[in-house]
Amino acid sequence: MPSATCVSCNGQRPAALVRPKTSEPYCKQCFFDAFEREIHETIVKEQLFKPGETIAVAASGGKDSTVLAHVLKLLNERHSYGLKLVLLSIDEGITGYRDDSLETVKRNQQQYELPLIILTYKELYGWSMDEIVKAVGRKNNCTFCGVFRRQALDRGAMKLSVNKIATGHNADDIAETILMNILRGDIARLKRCTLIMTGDESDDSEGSIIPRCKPLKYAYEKEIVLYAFYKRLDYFSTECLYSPNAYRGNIRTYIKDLERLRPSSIIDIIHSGEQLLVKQSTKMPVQRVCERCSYCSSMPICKACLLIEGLNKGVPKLGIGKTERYRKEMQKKDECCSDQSLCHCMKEKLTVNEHN
Amino acid sequence: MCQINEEDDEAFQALKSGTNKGPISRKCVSCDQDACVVVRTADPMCRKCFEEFFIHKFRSTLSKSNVFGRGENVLLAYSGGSSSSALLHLIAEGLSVQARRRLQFQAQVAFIDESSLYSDVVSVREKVTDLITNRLQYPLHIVSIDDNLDKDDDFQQLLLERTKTLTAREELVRRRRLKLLFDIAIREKCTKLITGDNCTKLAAQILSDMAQGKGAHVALECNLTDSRNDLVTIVRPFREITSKEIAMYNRLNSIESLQNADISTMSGPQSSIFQLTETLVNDLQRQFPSTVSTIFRTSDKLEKNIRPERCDLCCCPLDINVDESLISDQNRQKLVHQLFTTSPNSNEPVHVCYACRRLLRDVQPNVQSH
Repeated sequence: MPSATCVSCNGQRPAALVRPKTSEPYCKQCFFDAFEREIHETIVKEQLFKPGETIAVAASGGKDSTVLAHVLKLLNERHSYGLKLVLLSIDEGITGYRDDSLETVKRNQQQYELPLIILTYKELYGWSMDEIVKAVGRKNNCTFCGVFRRQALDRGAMKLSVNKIATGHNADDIAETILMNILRGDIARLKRCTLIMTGDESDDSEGSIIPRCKPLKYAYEKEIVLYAFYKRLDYFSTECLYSPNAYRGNIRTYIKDLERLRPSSIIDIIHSGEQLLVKQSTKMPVQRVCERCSYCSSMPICKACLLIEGLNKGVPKLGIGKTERYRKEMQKKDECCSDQSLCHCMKEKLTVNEHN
Repeated sequence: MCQINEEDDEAFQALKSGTNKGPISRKCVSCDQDACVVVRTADPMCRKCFEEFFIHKFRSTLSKSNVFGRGENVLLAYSGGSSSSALLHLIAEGLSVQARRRLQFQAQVAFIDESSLYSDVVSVREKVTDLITNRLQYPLHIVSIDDNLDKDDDFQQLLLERTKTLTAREELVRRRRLKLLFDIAIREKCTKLITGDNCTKLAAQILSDMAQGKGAHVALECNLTDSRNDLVTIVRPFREITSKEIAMYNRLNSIESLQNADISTMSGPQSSIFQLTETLVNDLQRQFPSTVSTIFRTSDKLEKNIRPERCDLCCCPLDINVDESLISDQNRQKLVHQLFTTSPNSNEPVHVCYACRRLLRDVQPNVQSH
């Protein structure tokens, strides 16, 4: 359809693209406006930010976080949210992947003139992902990366003393997580994964950690790519070298197929997820704090501490699969913290003391 | 995720060495007989033990919550498929005089005939009548899917010409079939409706419903008793039995099922949301044998939506505000009345849930186009 005109500005300009969400022709300018307006509406409706807050944007250099940083800066100025934005990056230490993407983040920092802090796995946990993969092998290494990153973001946010973390999760990611949690039977996360904000006052399941929000929750992945492309944003697009993750790949393909059959499917899945109510009688894991590092955990010893212990003792598979027995043993003797050179939780305690 | 520690797992090792032996040398897990069926890879069973296991699973699902009252009128939804054929067989045995712990209800059978939708399909009515009336001697009610519709209001034309997607066609037929079953049950004063939905189908249905925005009804859809209709309760005694187990039971007992054409016949695996989901679930089940039961157990932990306002299409409780759910388009309103409501007053407002609203967007309502 070369002659199609934009539905939004009443045919003043020729259409440049078909909006994936609505399948309607749009010109570039109207698409930008609509995309930004929808994110603004989400932020206002869900009351994600309060004036005067400092927000850490979790930046990986990929399309989602680049668009998030760009749009938040833009909207913050346009609608005067009164926010102070900072970029927060985690360096997992994956040569050939993260080092390149962090270069992108550094360029973004200059372009957007935002402060940037980079934390590395090496300094937080004593192990970089390259070293972990060498010890663990290609299988299951995503467990380490995922568990560590979640804590690392919180630690970085604490260092920067920010009020909230904004992550670049888009609608496709959330739909995928909802289906994954059903397929894995993870009822506790199924309930939580649709929330646009976790860890704030309304969410009593997590204690004293820093709230996180997902301003792009209703933005389609395809639209994010289009936005980044037409805005000529500087982003990095390579798959992680270590992530085959076939199971998630199945679900991802399924969601793309669904989107082709019915473009509204992604929003429909999110609607479905939001409607789910968990039975009162269902046993839910109790949120508490890890006895070692005081980070929130559903077990007496958190997963990160368990994984580190395994790595340091040369049994990297320790934290994968059935771990109950080992956790109990660890609780009993807990000799790790006496050996200060190895344990990351001691390091953390030391740095906290320094700050005080 | 599921391949974790496979090498270390003792059970897995035992399994690996077991599979090399070949099927002949394997013994039944509960007795010393030679096994003839393998339901789960680790548990081969002989015929007697398998049938005991299967019937026990069926009967315990039923007796768990004492669903049926003595002498209650019960309608069996028979489609001719393998699940409902097995169901019919089991219930006939359970009702027979020789049965141990005899079932105590009065059974009637309903068959929804869809053959009028397809031009070149042989009607299976004679076969159904022969099986149920002559052999089993239950009262049989056959109703055509376009029953009670005006001549100018052709269901076939609506589905094939005015409905854009196969997803919408399948869902319309599914809702219409359920509506007709409810009508028969109410007419025949049956208070229970038994369907042959099995665990495998329900798992695919759960995911497919999620993908269509029907998350609010997932808990209802897979429960043993489903009270979306105030007069008739749906009962699903096969909800814990997989399609594989049913196929084996049917084979061992030479239970025949009818080969029926349905709306999705001759369409590819990616042609509708349900087909796509079913393919995904079956593929995953092959690689990770716990897939179906995990999906099923997860939705078992969900609370039922109990809002009193119902959707006029799927009869489930509404999951959006009452004013959001109102259908304003006159033609669509008329369409819903003709297909799904029995009330004579066709000016009553129509309310639909989120998913049915999406569904109606794929349907062209205007009848007077020609």
